[in-house]
Formats: sequence, C-alpha cells, structure tokens
Amino acid sequence: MATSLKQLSVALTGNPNSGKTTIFNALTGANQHVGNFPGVTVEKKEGYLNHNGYRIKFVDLPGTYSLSAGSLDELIARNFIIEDRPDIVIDIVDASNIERNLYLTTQLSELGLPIIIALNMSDMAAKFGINIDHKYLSALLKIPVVPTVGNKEKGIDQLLNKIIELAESGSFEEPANVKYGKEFQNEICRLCDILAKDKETIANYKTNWLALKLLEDDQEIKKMVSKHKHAEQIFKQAELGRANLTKLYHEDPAALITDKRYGFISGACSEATSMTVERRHDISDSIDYLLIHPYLGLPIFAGLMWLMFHLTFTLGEKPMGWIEAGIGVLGKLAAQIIPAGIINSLVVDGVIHGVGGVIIFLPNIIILFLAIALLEDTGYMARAAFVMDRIMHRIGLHGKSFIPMLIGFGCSVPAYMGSRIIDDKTDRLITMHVTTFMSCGARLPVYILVCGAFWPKNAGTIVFSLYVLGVLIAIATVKILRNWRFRGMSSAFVMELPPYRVPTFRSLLLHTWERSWLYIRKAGTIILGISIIMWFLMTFPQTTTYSQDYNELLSRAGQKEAAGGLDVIQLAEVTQNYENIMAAEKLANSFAGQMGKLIEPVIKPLGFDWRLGIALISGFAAKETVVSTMATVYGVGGADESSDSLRRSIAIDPAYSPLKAYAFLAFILLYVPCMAAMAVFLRETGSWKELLFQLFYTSAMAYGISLIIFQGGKLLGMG
Amino acid sequence: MRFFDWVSRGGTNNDNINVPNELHLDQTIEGTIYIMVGLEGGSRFREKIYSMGLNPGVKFSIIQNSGHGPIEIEVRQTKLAIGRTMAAKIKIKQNGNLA
Repeated sequence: MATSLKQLSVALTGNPNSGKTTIFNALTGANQHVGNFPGVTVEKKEGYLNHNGYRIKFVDLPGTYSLSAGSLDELIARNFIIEDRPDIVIDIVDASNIERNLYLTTQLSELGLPIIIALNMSDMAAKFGINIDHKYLSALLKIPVVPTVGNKEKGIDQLLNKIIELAESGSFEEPANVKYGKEFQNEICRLCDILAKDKETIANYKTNWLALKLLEDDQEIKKMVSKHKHAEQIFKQAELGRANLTKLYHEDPAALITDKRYGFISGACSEATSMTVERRHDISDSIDYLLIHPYLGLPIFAGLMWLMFHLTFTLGEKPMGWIEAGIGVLGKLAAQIIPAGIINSLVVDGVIHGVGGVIIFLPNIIILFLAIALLEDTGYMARAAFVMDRIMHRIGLHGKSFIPMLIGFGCSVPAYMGSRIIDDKTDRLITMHVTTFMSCGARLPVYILVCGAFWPKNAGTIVFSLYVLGVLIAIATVKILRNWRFRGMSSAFVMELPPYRVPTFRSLLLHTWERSWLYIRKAGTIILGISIIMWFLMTFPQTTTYSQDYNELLSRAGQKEAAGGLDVIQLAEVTQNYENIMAAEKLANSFAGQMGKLIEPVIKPLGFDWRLGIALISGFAAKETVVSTMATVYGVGGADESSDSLRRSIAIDPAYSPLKAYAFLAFILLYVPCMAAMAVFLRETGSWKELLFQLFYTSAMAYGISLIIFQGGKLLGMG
Repeated sequence: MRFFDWVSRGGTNNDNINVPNELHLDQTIEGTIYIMVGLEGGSRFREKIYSMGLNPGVKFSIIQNSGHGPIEIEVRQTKLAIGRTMAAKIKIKQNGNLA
C-alpha cells in the first residue's frame, strides 16, 4: 500500500524560538525519529505523515537566524536545502518578530526552491499590537503565507493543503527578490558568465546565488567553487567586483547586501503590517530583573543548582529502596529456582546484580533529567548563560559555552552536540574539551553508592563538592587550553533570551522520557554485556589453589563445635570468615583479578587496590558499569550477597577509607568519557587528534588530582 | 536619568548641538531607547548581529546594563544578551526625542 503513495519531502526552517518544533510535532504527531544527516553525520529529526495520497517526509532543520554559514547549524540547514533539494521548504516566521524572521526568508528565496511561509503565533503578535495582512504580505513577497498557531494546532490543515496544492501544480512562482542595485547586478552577471562555463561542478546551485555569495566573500562557497574548472578566474573576478563595489559605496559588499535585504523587508512590512503599541513592561521583564540581577543573579543560579542536586538525592531515596528490594527478591528467587552452579552464578551474580545495580539509580537519573528539562523549557538556561558570562569571559570563553556544560550534568552526548550553538570553531572545541568534566548522570550512581557508604549523613554535600570540583577543573582547563593550545580571545557573545514559558507537561515528560529511556536501554545492552563479560573474567579460571586448605579448616571448626568448644553463633562467624577469604582468593586468581593486579602498581599511589582497578577498566564502556562491576565483585566475593546491600559491603571493607573513597570518586569524575560519548566527540569534532588529546588529557588530570587528594590527605593525617 | 541624558548630551540643554551620535552600546543607560547605527568589525560579526534583528535604523531599549557583564537589550519584541566586548563595537545614537 505504501508504494502507491507519492513521496514528498518537506524541510522546516525558521529562527530559533519561532515555534518550529511545535509545528513539526503538530504535523507529524508521534510519528518521528532522529536520524543522521547524510554526509555530515549530524543528527536531524524526521517525521512522516500520509495525507491525500502523499507520503510526506518532514525534516526539522536546526533553527537559524541566517543562512550565512556563520555557525555549524546554519551550514547544516543551508547544505541540506541545497544538496538534498527538498520538494518544499516551510519557513516558520514568528509574527511577533516578523522583520527579523523575514531576513532568513530573503535568503531562502534566493535558493530557488518553492517556499511556504507559516506565519506563526499571530495571536501573540496581536497581543503585542502587531496586525499583519497576510494576504497582502503574500502578494508582496510572492510566497504563499499560511497563518498558524502551533501550540493550538491551528492552521496545520491549511498548511498541509498548501503543501499538496504546490506539489500537484508542479511549478511555483519565483519569489520576489531583493533588488541590490544596477552595479551589483552587473558584477553578478560578470561572475555568472564565468560560473556558467562549468555547469557540472555547480549543478546544485543557482549561479545568481553563487555570484552573490562570492561577492559576500562566503568562505564555504569559495571552498566549493575552488573545484570549478575556472576557479582562479572566478576568484579574480570576485575580488575585482568586491573592490569596485567597495569603492563605489564606501562599504563592504556584504554589509550592503544585508542593508538591502532589511530595506526590502521593511518596505514590505510597512505596507502589510500595522503596529499600534510600542512596548509594554511584561512579566518576563520582572522575572528577568531578579534572575539576571548583577548581584543576585549568581547566588540564585548557585542556589538552583544546589537544589537540583539535593532533590536528585532526597526524592530519589525512597523509590531507590523499592527497586533495591525488588531486585533483592528477584535475586533470591533466581537463586532458588536455578540449580546451584555456573548458570546460577551467571544469572544471580552477573546479570541480576550487575544490571540491577545500575537500574537502582533510575529514580535519581529521572529527577536530574527532569530538572534539566525544566531549566531548558522555561527559558532559564539562556539566563544562566547570561549570568555566567562574566565568569566565563574572565576565563576565556563566553556565556553560551555554559549551556552545553550545564547539559553535560545530564549526559555528555547531548552536551557535545549542544555545543553547536557556539559559532566560533575554537570556542566550540574548547567547550567540548571541558564539557567532559561536567559530571554526567552516569557517574552519579557511583557517587551515590560510595558516598552513601562512607558519608551516609552528608552524601548530598559530598556529591555536590564533586560537581564543584568538576567545574573548577573545567575552568582550569579552559585557562590551560587558551594559554597553550588555542591562543586568543573568545568570539562574539550574542544570544537571544527567549520569553519565559510555563513548560507544557507533555514536553517535559517527552524530554525526560527520551533521555531516561536511553539510560534504561543502556542498562539492557551495553551494561548487560559488560556485566556478563566482567562476571566471566571474575569467575574463571575455576581452578584455584588456595593458600590454605580451607575445607579442612572448616571441617575442623565443625568438629570443635560438636565437641562443645564453639557455640552455634561462633561457628557461623568462623565459617563466614573462611568463606570470605576463599572467595577473595578465588577472585584474586581470576582473569579480572590478574588484570587488576597488573595495573595495581600504577594505581597504588592513588590508594586504589586491584578491585577498584577492575571497576575503572570496566568504566571505559559506560560509567554506570563501575557500579555493576563493583556489585559483581562483591556478589562473587561476598559470601552472603542477597541480604547485605552493596553499600554496606563497601562501608565495612577494611581496604577502603573515606580518603581513598574520595580520591576514587575524583578519578571517576575526571577520567575518560564513556565509549558512546567518545564516538560523539569524534563525530562532532571530526578529528582523531582532538579525541586522542581528550583521552590523554582527561586521564592525566584524573591521575594527577586523585594523587594530590590521596597523598595530600595522607600527609595531613586523614587516611 | 535626566542627569545622565544631560551629561551624555555634553552637558548642554540645547538639543540641536552636541547630541553625540557616536555612542557605543556598552555606554548606555538602563531604560533608555537608542537607535542602531552600525558596527565595527568583520562581516561575520555583522551578519550575526544584523540577522538577529539589530540592524541600522532599528530602535531598541536597554533592559540591563550594570557596567560589567553582558548587556540585555530588547529589540523587535525579543530580548538579546550581548557580551560587553562585542557591545563596545556596536555604534548607536540617542533616540532623537528623548523618551
């Protein structure tokens, strides 16, 4: 049936905060997925809709103000439109900010594709006192205009009808173009003549547009044109043209082009729109007054952060207990059903303890993700960037870098991708390098486990101190990178502060669910796999020669009890003791134990023994596996695994002390990102060199800081 | 506020002379309306600022300028945060009739 449908591809563009995502959701419903852009492997959102005999593919392009390729997002949007040539482009225009939004439209209309303007949030605009005659506007721009209210799903049907109408007609009217003037036109023609000599290289592009871009001195376009057979001649002509125009107008041609575009827009808008109200003081202003106050802003931000982590802990405690109890029951049940032996050990110690150990922390993760989604959806995130700009500026970045860093508290993967909002390449790279030190959600379970064991009363504060440590290291790293690898100043900090919104329940839930589901899925795949591998490495080889004949010792203790030398409780204690020693010796002799022992000399100065070494190695795959590995270590090593929680096992283990524990947590915080994050880091930087630097730098940092903590603490007599 | 206006007009009460038309965005006063003139800097910086709606001729108001840290302005019903070093490169002038 699907084959009989005609295929149609529609791209959605528009300014950030123009309501693009709402329109996308309204168009596609739940029928969407995140895929990769071909070529530039960058994530994009796609959604499908069957309508009137068409199967329409909607592609949600990144929100941009312009198509000038000034940032990665702009380049992605532009390249998609040019190279993938969607059948129709929908340009979402925020009616309450129509002139700025139409700036992107003027650039789109030069690309030679059919466009439909979705004039969005016209109800909001009316509130501001802006009235738009959309029919007249459509006539002036020669682009169909459909008024929509995305969050009320108004105008969506009309938009769909327009899409079908355009598709059926098979042709479209060329949009009204900005008039750049006679001299400009002459220079464009001269360039077009040369460009037309090699049609193959520039097949995807309109020659007029290319000529204009060359006069603008667009670096990306120059790169593309350099493949042209007459590239040298073109560049010479472009330089000549630029020089001529500069001489004539006493200004850079790019500035002139921008001016002409705005001139064209304000001409159209002055005819098609009317403004009655200048501006009113609104609720956003009052909230802003407080939240970005020069003195109060920072304390408020710090308070909110503390609250976020505090809630993550306190609210998570109860459901954590339920899950823990559930897993305990499951473990006992499995231990009874499955006959004792290797399979029993695999299921109970490997799978249930390993994966269960990670699943326990799901409540904390959900609360943390919910808090971050709240910061994003309310519009506070941009204010945090504003408040942090002063500090960030002092260390050599600007406020925008703080947004990916904040997202990094949730997970490094979206954080690395979120760094795309930073225009400057160097700034972006530095931001990505330091985002790793923002302690992610996957590291949280390790903190909760260890802190719960050693500082049951102050766990929240200790965990917060780790987050602060991460931020401090990040700051130091910016300083180091700025002085050593990337000299120079940070680039322009310009950012829109979106109006405050009460987040919709649905969007919050969707955001939190998407990210939490990733965590659950990871538990069922990577962590399950690693758990089984670690269990195998810890259980085999089975043949262990013990340092003493414990079975002999045990039976002797039994005889002693029978003779009346020991009571029942004493016997149980002795038996437990021998069994623990046996298990520990067996673990030490296993493959994992041998691996841990191999690296023990290296990590000994940090106060770590070989068991923590095993945990750290497993953490390369995913940080949560540190917990599952420790659970398996104690599951295999501890004689009574079902009644005693992992937390208590660690707390009573004489091999650890609070100082060692803190050094260990610092190491977990700072050492290499997990495999998934590394893959995204490589994809986003496109550079093996940067990835290797990242791995080397984070390892060195982790080692250095843990060494300072442990050795320093020992000198102060703490350990 | 009046006092600052008076100072920024060069200490004279005559509106016709000495209205400084070469102010920069970092030298602005909260709550005042200004007009965008242009900027000093490369074409990428210009494209960035202009495409966000701050182009020559547009009126905007200063929401926050505390003398340090970024500046918050409102232009075309949207709020923008602009870093101080960038603001120093943006040329503006007083709104003719002082509001």
